[in-house]
Amino acid sequence: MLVILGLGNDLLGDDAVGLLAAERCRGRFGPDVAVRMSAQSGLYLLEQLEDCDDAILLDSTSGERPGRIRELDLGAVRPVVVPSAHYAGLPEVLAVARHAGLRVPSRLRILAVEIEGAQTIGAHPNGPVLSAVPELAERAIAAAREWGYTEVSAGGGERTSTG
Amino acid sequence: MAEPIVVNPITRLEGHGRITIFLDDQGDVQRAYFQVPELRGFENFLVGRPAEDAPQITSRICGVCPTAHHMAATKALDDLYQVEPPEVAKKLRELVYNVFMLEDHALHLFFLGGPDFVVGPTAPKADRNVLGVIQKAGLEIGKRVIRMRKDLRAIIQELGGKVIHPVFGLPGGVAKPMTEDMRKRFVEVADRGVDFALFCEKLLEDVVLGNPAYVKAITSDAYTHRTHYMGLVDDRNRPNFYDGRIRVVDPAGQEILKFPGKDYLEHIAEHAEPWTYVKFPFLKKLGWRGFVDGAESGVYSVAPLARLNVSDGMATPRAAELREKFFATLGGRPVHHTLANHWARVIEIVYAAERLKDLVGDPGITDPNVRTLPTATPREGIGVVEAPRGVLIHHYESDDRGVLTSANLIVATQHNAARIAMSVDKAARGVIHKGVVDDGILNQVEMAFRAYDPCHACATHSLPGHMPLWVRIHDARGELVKEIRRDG
Repeated sequence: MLVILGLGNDLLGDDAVGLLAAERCRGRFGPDVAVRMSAQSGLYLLEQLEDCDDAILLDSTSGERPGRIRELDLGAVRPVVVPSAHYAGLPEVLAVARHAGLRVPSRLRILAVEIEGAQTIGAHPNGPVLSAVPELAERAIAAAREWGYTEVSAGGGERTSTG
Repeated sequence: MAEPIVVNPITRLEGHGRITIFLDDQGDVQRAYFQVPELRGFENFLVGRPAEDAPQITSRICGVCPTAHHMAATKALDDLYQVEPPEVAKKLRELVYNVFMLEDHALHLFFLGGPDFVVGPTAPKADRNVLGVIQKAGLEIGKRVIRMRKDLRAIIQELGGKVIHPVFGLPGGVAKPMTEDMRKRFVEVADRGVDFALFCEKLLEDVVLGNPAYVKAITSDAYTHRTHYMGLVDDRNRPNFYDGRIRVVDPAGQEILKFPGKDYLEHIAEHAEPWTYVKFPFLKKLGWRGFVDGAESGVYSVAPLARLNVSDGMATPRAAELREKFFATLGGRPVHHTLANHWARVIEIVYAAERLKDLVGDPGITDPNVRTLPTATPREGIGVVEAPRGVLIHHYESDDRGVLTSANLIVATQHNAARIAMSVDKAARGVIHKGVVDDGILNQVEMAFRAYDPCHACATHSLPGHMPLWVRIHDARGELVKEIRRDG
């Protein structure tokens, strides 16, 4: 079971890039691939990842070149003590889950598009960030294929929550 | 003396917790400032949109508490369209809202209050995180919290359509009735919810109250401010998360105001400071007298502790007993110790679970007539709920077509902004002496404001998701002498 999880807030302009890319992945695989989207953060992500063998996360990240796609190494982002539930990140989520013995993805890839900042309120990503959506989706699909998930012509994507 | 304070304006939706500290000639703290964001951007975004979009748009303000914004917006729409929802719709809204409060509070207790209390304030920093809590309290507890939250969120999903951005509330009612089949399943979850709540309470009693060092930490002067308190109460002055009148008590616990939410502008004003975009709400009746506590000051606070302080009891039996014990242990009502918010939150977990059980057991809860269709011309609407972190106000105006022409949102963190600023200032004074700045200031300051769980960058969650915390210390000449950053 693979989850392709798009993350972002669709009212924060460029921050929605992960959601749009996930949307494009919908229907490309069979029932062993769930395509999900979430505007949530921190420990709430656990509910999206639990009981999956593999996960591909599509998100945004602060960067100097908006639109550039980067693959982030989770190992490089260590868990930290956070002052609020609002700020727990993916490293904390996975650390908690593994520590508690919950089943979380053993294989995980994080693909993120660089954006200038997720502080600008707006309905859609702009310019180079929007242009990166097809490539982000294709890279997610290619990553799923590499892991042995087979594409189908239509249907199959599970829709859960949207951002 | 320190130079005039100028902190560059920050982005409107702040992504940093920024603390600026000015020292005097002796190297002691003259004043510490902690900046919190405001949500004006979302208010602008609402203008020109159909009013009925507000519950969906505002639920995107926060990835953690969307249900609070959804419900405040829904209530504001009732008022905007001058429509009274059927009783069952109000009960269903309150039911969903108590489920949300229960799961949100449980998260806070274990992941936020936990590090301070379950592991202990003197534990090594590395242990004072979520993993430390699970280690100390046991893996089964961590699993139980996660499972319970999952069950509770399934209720919101089934009734609200989506967990994150529910499409439940409509002007005049709700979108979906509860079937008898759903009710039976929810009764079972509610029963487990009560067990879970009492288990949380026992854990707090065993770990925290059984340890005099923790009680001493809660009651220490460093975390004490004698302010006014504000919260929603029912007709018997008991807290209600979904509805009621806003009650304000003074630092001696005496009621000084009680008013319907729609009158908030008559009683609350906002004070501006040159160093932040944030406006500090204060009680008009008393005026703004600076960042000071006491009966003369208009500074007030909201959140679980405030809700207990403004109330004369609790509407459910076990929570009522626990409230009595709370005040008996901490010296009577009101309690002014910020860290007591964690204990108050546990009492509210019990209340939310008991209230949920009451509501799913209500024979009228499955009435299918869940909406009164609005027919009046929309004008102006105000909706108030208790968010997990305190009073949340949504205020909209529209044209005759129901297109929004203005929006004003006051979130809990804004109500608490002055008191948080006072807490941070006090914490800074405790750790900086004669120019010697201990890097441990981050922990001290964090402990001071963690009890409020302020919502700063909540609308964003770009990776890695941490809130960068940034402390800048200036000497008496205004020169930057030290900068401590903990980037995400």
